[in-house]
Amino acid sequence: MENPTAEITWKDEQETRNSVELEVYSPAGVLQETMHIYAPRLEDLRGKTICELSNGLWEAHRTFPLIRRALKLRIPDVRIVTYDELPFGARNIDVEDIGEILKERGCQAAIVGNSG
Amino acid sequence: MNITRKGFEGVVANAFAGLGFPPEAPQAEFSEENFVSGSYLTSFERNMDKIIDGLMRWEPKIGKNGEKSLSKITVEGTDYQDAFIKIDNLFAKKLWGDGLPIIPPTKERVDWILTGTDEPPQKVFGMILPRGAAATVESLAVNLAMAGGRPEYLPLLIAAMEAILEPASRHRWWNTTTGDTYPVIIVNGPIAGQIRLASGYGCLGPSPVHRAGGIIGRAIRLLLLNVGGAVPGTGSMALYGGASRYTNVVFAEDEEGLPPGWKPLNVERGFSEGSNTVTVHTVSIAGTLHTAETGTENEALETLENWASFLRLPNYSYWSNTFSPRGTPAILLIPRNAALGLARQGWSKEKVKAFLWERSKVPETPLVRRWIEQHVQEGKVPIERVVFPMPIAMNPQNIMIVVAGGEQSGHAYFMSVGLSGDVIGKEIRLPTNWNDLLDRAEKDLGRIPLG
Repeated sequence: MENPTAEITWKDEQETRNSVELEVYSPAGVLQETMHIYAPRLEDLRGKTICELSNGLWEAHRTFPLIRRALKLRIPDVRIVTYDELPFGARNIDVEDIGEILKERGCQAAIVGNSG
Repeated sequence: MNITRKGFEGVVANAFAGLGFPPEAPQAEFSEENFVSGSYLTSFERNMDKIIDGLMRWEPKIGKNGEKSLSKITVEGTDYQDAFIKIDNLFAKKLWGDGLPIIPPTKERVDWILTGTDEPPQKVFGMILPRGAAATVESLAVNLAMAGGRPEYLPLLIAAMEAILEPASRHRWWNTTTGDTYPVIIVNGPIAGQIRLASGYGCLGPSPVHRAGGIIGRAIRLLLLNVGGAVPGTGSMALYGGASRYTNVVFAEDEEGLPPGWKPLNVERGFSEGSNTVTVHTVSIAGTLHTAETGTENEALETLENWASFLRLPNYSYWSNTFSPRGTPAILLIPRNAALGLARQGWSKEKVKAFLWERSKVPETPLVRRWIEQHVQEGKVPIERVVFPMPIAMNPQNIMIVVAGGEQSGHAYFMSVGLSGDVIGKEIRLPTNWNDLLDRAEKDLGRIPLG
């Protein structure tokens, strides 16, 4: 049987030239570097107040007490405002003025959980 | 400090970066079993020192404000076709795109598409999450180019993205959730016919006659993927995704088919008659309703009862973020002849909504009760509104009814909410050269077909 590829001729590689140049944009948008919009970290937590913000999901009612207990063991005089004393649930904690709400409660740091 | 379950590390790092933190924030991962009800938290307790260290020690680097222009890539080829294929392959390697072949977004093509707006190319509409890159006019044009778009599609795309990026839309949630949600864009106004957007037969699906919906919808998906980083498995945890996500759903209301007294969707929502608008929401469950006969009072009642029975199927998301004056549980599409039949029987849009709202109330089951109790606890449903059978929306007028689809009766279509935010409406702003763009479209694509 005749070789079906016999008629195909191949260009000599050395003679092949790229004759078209296309410049395209990245579709990934612009990543903006932003100012550090969050409060600077406290020097230490001794005598400070930490607030818990819970979305009520992924066993947060069990993980928060564990973190609370571990923090108290390390820093006996830390004060913790528990999540049930503050806005609760994703809709209520994901609001523009949550920072102000925490400040009014005397919070100097916050722990937010649980993602997933 | 991020505490998350194994498998979600990419999503969480992405989401954290989208909030302005660098992606190298400390993370502790635990297996999924730790996060389910009644689990042992032994591994959590064992790693508590690592968690506390992360909470107390790490802080992000301080950056500075600034923008970067879109980067460009140069590709060489032996001829145009070779370069075209190389670009498609390169974009695939970089995980840019939706898996389908793309049109290379060259400077010439993007510049052409930018003639579709008077807005400056560097204008920022917002950050698309979870990745948090900026959606600019230019990046919208680039992704519209990739989808095969034209300049006259750009104003609608801009309006849709403005709606999506409104905080109340909560795109951060529905763009990353495990649920298979996708945006639905309903267009009103003369622009729909001008850019050949479908409102009749096959309006939710592919069509060579009405190309705009699929292309604009695809551009939206490309933006959510490329700019927003919602790549399956790392940025988006949607378990299935779904075929509708390729082009989402972009269609026009059949305003000519509205019965007397039935207002267009955008007028119901406060926009003026004849204005060009988008109404944007997200859905996850959709399908054909095989009953839409409304020629007699009995047929109308049977049909409405059938529609209500589909809406009555328990949907966790009914009582999630959309149980509010600004949310909707579902969008119901009715073809014009079915709508006319209803109107002739004395059914106004408001009366249809009231009937559906009443007849779609969900009976109590242990599962439904547990859902609602959870939503009450999370502040999503006011406790005073809990009653069984439970309404699917706060008020009847929250149910959205749109006249669209092929002319005859026989079928309707419902789209039920997924993890969603509020329904958002935006006016579409046309450029000063709008008529020139339409003239060019007619030259390129031929006259707008009738029907």
